Amino acid sequence: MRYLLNILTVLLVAPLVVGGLLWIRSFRVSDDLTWDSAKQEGGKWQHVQRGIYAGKGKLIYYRRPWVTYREAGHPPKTGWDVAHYKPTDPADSFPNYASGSGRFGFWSMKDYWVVGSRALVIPFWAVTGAAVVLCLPALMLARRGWVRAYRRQHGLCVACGYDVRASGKRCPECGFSVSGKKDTGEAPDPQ
Amino acid sequence: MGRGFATCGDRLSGKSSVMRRSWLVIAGVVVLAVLAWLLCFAQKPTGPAALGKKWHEQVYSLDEDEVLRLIPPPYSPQRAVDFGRGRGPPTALGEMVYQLQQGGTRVTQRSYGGGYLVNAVQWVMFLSRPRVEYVKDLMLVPYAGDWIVRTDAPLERRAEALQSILRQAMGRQISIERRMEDREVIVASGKWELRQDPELARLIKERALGEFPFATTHLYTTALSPTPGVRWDDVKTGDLPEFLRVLEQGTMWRFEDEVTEPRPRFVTWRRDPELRRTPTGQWNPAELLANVERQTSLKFNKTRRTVPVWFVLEESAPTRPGGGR
Repeated sequence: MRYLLNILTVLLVAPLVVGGLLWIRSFRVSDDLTWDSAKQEGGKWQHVQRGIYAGKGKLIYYRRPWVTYREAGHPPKTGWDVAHYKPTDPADSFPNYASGSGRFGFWSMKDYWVVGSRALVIPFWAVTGAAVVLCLPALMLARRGWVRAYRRQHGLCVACGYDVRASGKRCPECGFSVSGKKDTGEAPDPQ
Repeated sequence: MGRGFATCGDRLSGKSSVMRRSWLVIAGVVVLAVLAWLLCFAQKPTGPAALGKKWHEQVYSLDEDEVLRLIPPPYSPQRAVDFGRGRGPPTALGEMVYQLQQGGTRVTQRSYGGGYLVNAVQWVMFLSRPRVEYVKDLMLVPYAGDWIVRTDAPLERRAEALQSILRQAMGRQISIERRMEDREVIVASGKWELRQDPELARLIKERALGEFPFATTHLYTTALSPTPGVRWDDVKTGDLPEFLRVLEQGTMWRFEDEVTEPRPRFVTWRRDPELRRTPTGQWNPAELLANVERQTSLKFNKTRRTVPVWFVLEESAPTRPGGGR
């Protein structure tokens, strides 16, 4: 149980660490991660690029479509691509950025590239804040587990931390059973 | 002895446990620091993120094995800039041709009045109108979009790609093929040698058309344009084959190049605005050629020859109802 809790904690803390590092990175490097897909409909190739752009404390998810006609037997290239640039604010790197609307660093753009293109700007503080909210309960549970394990290992009462090495079956301070069970009710919180 | 050893062992295990934890913490911090350094500080890119330009280049370019691409609307913001806002009617989307050459693409054609198959064939295959023959009404089948052409691709390869794309874009079984046919042609022969034409000099002076370098060949018929001044759009420079292509396009006659050496490296010509304004057929092409002969010493003779002709055909009924745009 404790092992699973530790894994869960690591899994929930990881986004916070990565998010925080990416926040710092966005002021050093602007990244553009894209996924290109295309399908042929009625002779024309319908392309869609989905991308995530990070620049100067902002994260952008964008989607931009376009259409081409290509020679038969020459399908377009699709797949992942990553590009790195000098840190550039989305307002300077995105065409028609000013046409969007939003508050508190959140920004939404429509048709900024061609008709049907969409982009959503999310400030990094919001991403990091969400990661904190997500991992806080797990961290508290993990801490409780760590304290209990430490007390058990060092001969302290699991409930109150009193030294029970010389005591019998019960903690003289809180009455909690040294074997881990209390006569009545739940164990008090170790904190 | 046994108790003392056990006590000592307990102490050692307690210490090693603390040590182990400390090392784990230190290792964790080091890993995190290295990760942070790699992620945040190791990379130093130099170029700014101009995404609009990057996206435009992704669309308006060709893959390695590609020779032709058609981009229909809606167009990118950069394309609107390339088209030139303020030119043509405000609502016109127009059609453009980008040629892919060494170092990137450049705009070579713009049209404001709508794109037709005849334009596409001319722009993509670099063939003047008299070298292509159309079946039925194919010439005026409309299309919408910008072409990107690889200029160094062989003509046959471009024709093959054009046929494939037109079939998809227009929904018609259009076929482009080359055949050897007997046709009337104008053979341009002799040696390129510029001559002073006193009659032309008098007309230019009389109508205040401006100053022209001696090397400018004037393409005109009975009367030079009455508009004073020079429209520099009408003055062009190119090689001899390009000059003959202009004559082909103007006269709608097919030319065969048999001009002897030494051939001029560059030719400068001025097309009289009247030729542009007046529809072909309302002026005498023979007179135009006679004027060119007087200025350049070339000889133009009409004859019949078996020459390659490109045909634009339709193989069967439309595959999609409606077709076109």
